[in-house]
Amino acid sequence: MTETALAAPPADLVADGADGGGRVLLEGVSKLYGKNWAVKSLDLEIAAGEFISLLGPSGCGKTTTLRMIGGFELPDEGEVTIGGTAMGSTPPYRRPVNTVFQSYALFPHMSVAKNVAYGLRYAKVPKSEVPERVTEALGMVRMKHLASRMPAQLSGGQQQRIALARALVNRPAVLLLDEPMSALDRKLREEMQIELKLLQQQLGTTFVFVTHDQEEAMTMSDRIAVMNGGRIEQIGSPADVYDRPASAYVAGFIGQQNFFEGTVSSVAPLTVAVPDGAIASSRPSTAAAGAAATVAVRPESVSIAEGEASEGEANAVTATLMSVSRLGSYLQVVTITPGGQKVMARIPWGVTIPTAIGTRVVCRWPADAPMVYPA
Amino acid sequence: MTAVALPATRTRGRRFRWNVGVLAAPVAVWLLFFFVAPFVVILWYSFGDKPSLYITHDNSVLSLGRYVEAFNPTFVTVFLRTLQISVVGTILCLVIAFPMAYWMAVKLPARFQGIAVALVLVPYWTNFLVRTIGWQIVLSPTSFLADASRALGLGTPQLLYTTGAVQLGVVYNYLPLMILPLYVTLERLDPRLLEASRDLGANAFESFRRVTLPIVLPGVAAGLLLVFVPLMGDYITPSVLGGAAGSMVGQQVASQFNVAQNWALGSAMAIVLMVAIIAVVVLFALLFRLVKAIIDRFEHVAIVEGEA
Amino acid sequence: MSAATAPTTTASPGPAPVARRRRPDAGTVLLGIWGVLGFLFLFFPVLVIVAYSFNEGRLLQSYRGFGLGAYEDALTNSAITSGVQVSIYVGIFSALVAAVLGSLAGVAVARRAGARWIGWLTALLGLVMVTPEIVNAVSLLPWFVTLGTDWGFTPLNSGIVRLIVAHSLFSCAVVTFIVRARMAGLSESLEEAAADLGAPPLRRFLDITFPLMRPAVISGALLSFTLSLDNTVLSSFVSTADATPFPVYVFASVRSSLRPAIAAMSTLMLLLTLVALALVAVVLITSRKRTGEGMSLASTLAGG
Repeated sequence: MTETALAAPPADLVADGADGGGRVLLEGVSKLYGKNWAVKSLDLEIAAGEFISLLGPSGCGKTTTLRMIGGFELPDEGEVTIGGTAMGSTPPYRRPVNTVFQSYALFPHMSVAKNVAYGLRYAKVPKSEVPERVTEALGMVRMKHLASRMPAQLSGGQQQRIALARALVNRPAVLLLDEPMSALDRKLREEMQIELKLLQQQLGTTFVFVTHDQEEAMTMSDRIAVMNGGRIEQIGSPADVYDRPASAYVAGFIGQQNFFEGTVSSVAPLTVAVPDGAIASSRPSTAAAGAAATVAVRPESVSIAEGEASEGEANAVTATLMSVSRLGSYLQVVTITPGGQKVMARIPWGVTIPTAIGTRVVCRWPADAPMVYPA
Repeated sequence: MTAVALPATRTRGRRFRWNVGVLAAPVAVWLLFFFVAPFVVILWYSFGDKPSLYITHDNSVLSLGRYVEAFNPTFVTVFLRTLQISVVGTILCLVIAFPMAYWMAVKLPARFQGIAVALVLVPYWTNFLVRTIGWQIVLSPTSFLADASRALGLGTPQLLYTTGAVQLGVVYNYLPLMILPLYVTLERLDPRLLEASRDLGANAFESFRRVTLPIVLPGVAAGLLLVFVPLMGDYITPSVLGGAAGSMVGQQVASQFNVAQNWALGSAMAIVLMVAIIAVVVLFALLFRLVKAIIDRFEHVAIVEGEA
Repeated sequence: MSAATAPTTTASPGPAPVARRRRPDAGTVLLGIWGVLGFLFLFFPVLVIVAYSFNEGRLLQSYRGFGLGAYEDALTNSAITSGVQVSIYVGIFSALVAAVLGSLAGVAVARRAGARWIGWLTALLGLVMVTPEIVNAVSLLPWFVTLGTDWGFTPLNSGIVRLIVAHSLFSCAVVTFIVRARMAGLSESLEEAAADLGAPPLRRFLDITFPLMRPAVISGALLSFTLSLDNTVLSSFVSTADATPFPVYVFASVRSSLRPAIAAMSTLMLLLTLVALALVAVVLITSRKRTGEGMSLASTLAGG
């Protein structure tokens, strides 16, 4: 196989111990449902030992992609290669991958221990080793004490851990996780995110994680593939997709944004005329002069001060303070410009700002903050 | 790679699993061979004739003669009586069963409901013929009922071998088939819906009419169907309780096969019975839709455009 | 008066806690009376049969004192005992046929619910359930004669085989619908999980699908068994002289003379049916307890 121009993960992110069996390659993979392409010409290279998230709203093709790696769906076009072997139409039970299902899919008629031991039988693990492996796997998720329970007697969080143990006990080269935390409450989810990441680092197994929750993806992943309409919009490290979103879609999907619609008035220096003034950006952009553009400014880049923007000042808008609320370590400020544009700001706790509702304020941001996309 | 190039590795089967649909093939074959085929055969016979005393049927000449023959005055009388018994019996079943099912599902504490269902099932799973014989004992001139009547100086009542006896028998025999579907629907009725309805200002009757009734309507329809269809073709109940005065179509069909050995005429009668049942069911389905449409129209809330 | 506000000041020795219970309204009381009367109505002829099984008289209808003579007659009358034997034999085998065919079809119908031909099959099964027994009976009789005598399909000349085939038709539909209901409630991802963990198709069926559908199959089979024991109309048409099931014997006796022995054997058969039903209940309840989910008994027995 020749080296393709796929987005390869940085070398330092590849786990040292990984032997390459966990390398996953998707080349021109497409899947047709009825008349719609659920996934269209998707190229993706996942390094062994990498934790990658497929992130996107429902219907973006992320679950279909995962199911094609698992073998539950066969691609209509393209090829899935795992550990150097082209999968073709290999059924799931002959693929070196295991899955944690969204609803966990624990076998309701088997105890926890039997659930976990199920795969070992088909992995031809000697009978004498089975108890050891099951105990080890359950210990890994700290569920040893529940080994004899039935799945129906477990809470959602416990079931999720068992599902994880059941998949990991087989020591798969690749672990697929299909929104495994969507049924858990927020606190439990945050705990599990950390645990899962630590576990993955210990094991060096390739994790392919499907989620619609951008925070979840940001917390755990080495790389995030943001998907939309069956394609990958952007792939990169969490910092990449957060700081340098490739499109307005990605910018909006990851974190909060203030969006401004306007027209590019000059390209060098890049300036966009918006109803409430002008936005100048020092970031590179593909927007052409005279064309409509969307500008995204992150709330944390915005500062708030009493007063008005001076005449002709770029990257400053005059607005009215609408609400100030304390969210953890920062203040969430909402303002509205006379033109009806909502501008949000995140001010670190401790910075003094006007808080009286109705105060006229000026919102400013530095020139390296605005991201300009062709509309 | 160009975007329009046809895929080299075109679909290798949509899913990894083999087609479980084939599992239905044995039943399909079994039913085609032992349900559809026999039916087609009697349909064929019904266009034939019974040429002589010792031959059950003959199809060398095809005609609608057996259908004409089937509509003789006796058959028509019995047919109309069957229809009457069936309609009245079905309605009586509904009238008796609905309050019972409602009581079981809504008023009885949950822990007694299982027992109540079991109590409905015990008589239902007692042999149909045997429980009909139970009524024959009760209604017979030598029963304790008749003894009591004589002791009161009212003479021996003629209860057995009447249309009334058959009517009683069928209501009794098919009552569980009405109770069970009604119970199942009412049991699934979320009590919070009624609370919500009361909360929104409806009184008990209004809540019943506007919330309970629309939800249980499918259960009622199922019950009516489950009772009416077998009742119309009943053969056991009138044989045990009806005598000559209370005979039904089922017996007419049976006697053509058992006694008269006229398969052609018997087949025609069976087809007539089948068609009548299907016709009533279709009619009922249309009526049911009409009622639903009227309710929907009555309760229709138009969304005013441009208000939101 | 409020029991909650004055716990000790009332000197009355009456049972105070009872007063706390809300008194049911008139509608509930009337419904309750109606319900109880309904149950009495349902049980009345059954109790009559049980009572008359202890009739020492010669004819069933005229009561001539209490005794167990009828039971002795029932167990020594060869026509009755062989009838019961035929009934049980046919019941077991028709239930087996229905369980196998119906389970397979139930899985197919549940898992391929969208396919058009599944719609046709469901309609056919529905038709089997709503066709009056008498129409079935009169169509099967000539068909069996045609197949057995004219086409030389000799197994169908045996009364037992005819009974098993005839009884299996309705039961197939019953089992299919029960198994379908069960399978529809089970996520397909369980089978996918088994595949994911390395189980090839047949193992997957044996490890996961079958154990999970087993309660439905067992209850369907037991229901089929009781339906077969109950069947009179089909049986009286397709049975032959050497294989007369018990209900057919009883039906013949209705026309000549009914003896208390029939009530006695019917009472015993009722007990047998109740045992079968109790087994259904136990199977369903234990499976629900073990797996924490499952169908309600009533829904199952009422057919979905």
